[in-house]
Amino acid sequence: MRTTINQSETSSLQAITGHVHLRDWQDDVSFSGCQEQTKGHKTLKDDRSEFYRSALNSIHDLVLVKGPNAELLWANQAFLDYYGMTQEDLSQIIDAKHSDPDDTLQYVKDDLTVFQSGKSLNILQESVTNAAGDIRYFHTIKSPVFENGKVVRTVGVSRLIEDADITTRAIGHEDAKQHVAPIKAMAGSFPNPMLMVDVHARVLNSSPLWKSYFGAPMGNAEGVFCDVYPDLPDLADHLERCLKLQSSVEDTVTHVAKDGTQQVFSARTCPWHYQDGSVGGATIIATDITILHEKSAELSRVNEELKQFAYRASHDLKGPLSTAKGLAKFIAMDVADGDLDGAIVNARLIEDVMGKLEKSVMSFLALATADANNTEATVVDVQGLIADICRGLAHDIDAANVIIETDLERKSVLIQHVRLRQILENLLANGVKYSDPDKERRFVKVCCRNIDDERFELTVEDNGCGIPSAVKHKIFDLFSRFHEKSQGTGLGLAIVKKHVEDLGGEIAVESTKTGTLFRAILPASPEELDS
Amino acid sequence: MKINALIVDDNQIDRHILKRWLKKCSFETNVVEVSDGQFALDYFEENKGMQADGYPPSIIFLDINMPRVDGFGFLEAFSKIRDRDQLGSTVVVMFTSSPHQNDRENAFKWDFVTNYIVKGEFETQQIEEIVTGYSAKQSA
Repeated sequence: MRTTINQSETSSLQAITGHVHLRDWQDDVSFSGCQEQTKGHKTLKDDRSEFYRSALNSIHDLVLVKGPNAELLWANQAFLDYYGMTQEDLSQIIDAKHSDPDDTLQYVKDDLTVFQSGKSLNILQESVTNAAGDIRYFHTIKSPVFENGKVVRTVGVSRLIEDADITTRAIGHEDAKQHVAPIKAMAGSFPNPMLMVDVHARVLNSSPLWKSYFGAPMGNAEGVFCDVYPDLPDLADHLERCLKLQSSVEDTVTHVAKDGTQQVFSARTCPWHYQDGSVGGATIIATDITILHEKSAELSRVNEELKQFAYRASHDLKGPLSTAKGLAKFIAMDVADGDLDGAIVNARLIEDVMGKLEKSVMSFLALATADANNTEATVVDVQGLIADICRGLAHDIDAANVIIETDLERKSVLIQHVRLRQILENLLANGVKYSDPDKERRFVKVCCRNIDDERFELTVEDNGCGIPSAVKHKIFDLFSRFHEKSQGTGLGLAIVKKHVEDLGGEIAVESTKTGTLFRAILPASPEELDS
Repeated sequence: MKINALIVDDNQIDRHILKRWLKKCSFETNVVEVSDGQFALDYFEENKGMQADGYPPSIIFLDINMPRVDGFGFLEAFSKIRDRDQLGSTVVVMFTSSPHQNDRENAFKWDFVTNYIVKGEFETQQIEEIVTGYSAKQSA
C-alpha cells in the first residue's frame, strides 16, 4: 500500500509553520525552549507559540525547518525522537552525526532545489538513519517559506513509508548514493591533489596529496571551501564560478607553502553530475607545475642569451670577413697599379685577419661544445697541465716577459680534464695578455689548495693592468671586452664561467693591491685526496 | 680645402682600409686614428679649445663594437662635448660591421650622425660622396 501525504495536509502544515515563522521566529526561546512557559509568565505571544508548537509536536510526521545553508533551525518532537536529539542538539547543524554522509549530501541538494525553484519538492522515497543506526524510508515534501517574496527557509514534512517500491523520482536515492560513491572514493585516493565539494562548495573529500599541499579540513567536514581554505581565494572563486555557470574553470594559481616557497599549480575545477544530469558539486584537480614554471622562466632567459649570442657571434664572424673583402679589393688595385709590394702587404694582412677569424670560430666551438665535454672525470696532475698550457703560450709569455708561478698544496684533482684545461688556459692567457709593462717583475701565479673534504680552491693571480671596478660585474658576460689592449673575442671568461658552473663550482674576480685574482671554488672528490 | 677626419676603431686593419680610401678622395684629408671610444674622448679632452692643424675633426668615422667605451657610449658622451666645445660642424659617420637595424636606429637617434656604413658592403665612391657632401655643406 502506498502511503502519501495528501496535498491539503502539506499545505496546511506549510501554512502553520510559515505563519509561526512570520510572527514568532525571532522569539526563538519562546518557540524552541519552554522556560518561559514553565515559569508561568505567559504572554499572549507565548500562548500563540505554545499553540503552534503543541500542534506541530502532535503530528506523527517529521517536520523540520531549515535555513538557506541547509542548516537545521527547528524540528518537531517526532523528528527529535527519530533522531534521538534535543532541540538544542540540532541547532545550526546540517545533519546528525549518525547520518550517512551521502544521504546528507542528497538532503542538501534537495534543499537547494527548493530554495532555487521556490517550489515544493516531492521526494517519494528517501532514506533517513535513526539514532540507532537503522535506515528507514520516508516520503518527504520540502516546501519554500517566503518572506517579502523571497525564499528564506524550507520546511520539510516526512512520513514513514513501508513499501519500498516507490521510484517515481528521476534518480532513486540509493542510485544517487551509488553514483556519487566512486567519485568520492576517487577524490579520496586520487594520485594528484584533488578535492571534491557539494553544490554549496562544502568539502566532501580530498586526496592525500591535496592535504599535504594545502592542509586537511579542520574538524567539521562540512566546512565550506572558502572557510576551510582561506589562503586559496583563487580556487574559492573558481568553485563559485564553476557551480554557478555549471562549466569547468581552468587557471594557474599560486600558493605559498608552509616553508615560504611559492608553488604554482594548474588547477582544473569541474562540476560533477548525478545520473539525471543535475550538478551535484565540483572537483578541483591541481597539478604542481612549479618546476615547469621555473623551467619556462629559465628557458626564456637562455633564449634571450642565445639571441644575444647569435647577434654578437654573427658580428664577430662578419667583422674579419668584411675586412678581408676590403683588403682583397686593395690587392686587385695594387696589382692593376703594378704595386706588387703593396699587394703582398695586403695579402699578409688578409692572412692575419683570417687567423683571428679562426680563433673566434675556435672559441665559439669551445663554448658551444662546453656542454658536450661531459666526459668521465680523470685524475689530473695540475703541475703537468699548467706546464703543458705554458708551452702553448710560450710565445706570448716570452714576448711579455711574464713569470708563471705555481703554489700547489693540492697536486692532483679528479676532474673532467678538458674543462680544467680550458679554465686554466683562458685565465693564464688573460694574465699574460694583460700584464703591466710598467712593472719590473711581471707574474701570473696559480694556486690550488684544499678547502675541506668537499671543495678545493683554484686561484689565478697576476700583477697586471687590473680590471676597472665599474665593469667588474660584467666581466664574465659574453663578448665583454674592457681593455684597450683587448683584441680577443670577449668569450674567454664566459667560457671559464660556463665550465666552472658545469662542474658545480663558482668563480669570482677580485682586485688585489697589485692586480687581479680569479678564485674558483670547485667540488672535490674525497676519495682522491692527494696522492 | 683640407678635411680633418678622426677614425675611432679598435681594428687596426679596418683603420688602414678606411685611410686608404680617404687618401683616394679628391679632397685632401688629415687623418687622426684612435683605437677605442675612450681614447677618442681623451683626444677631445686633450685638445679642448685648440684650433691646430688637424683639430677639431670635421668627420668622425666611428666603429660600434670596441673595448672600454663602445660606439654608442662615445655618441652619448660626444653629444655633450659637441655642445660644450661648440663643435657643431663635426659630424659622425658610423663605420661598423654590424648590419643590424637596431644598431642603425640607435645611431641615427643622434642628429649629428649623418651616415651608416657597413664594413665590406660599401661602394668605394660612397666615402668620396660623404666627404664631398660634407665640404659642400660647409662652404654653402
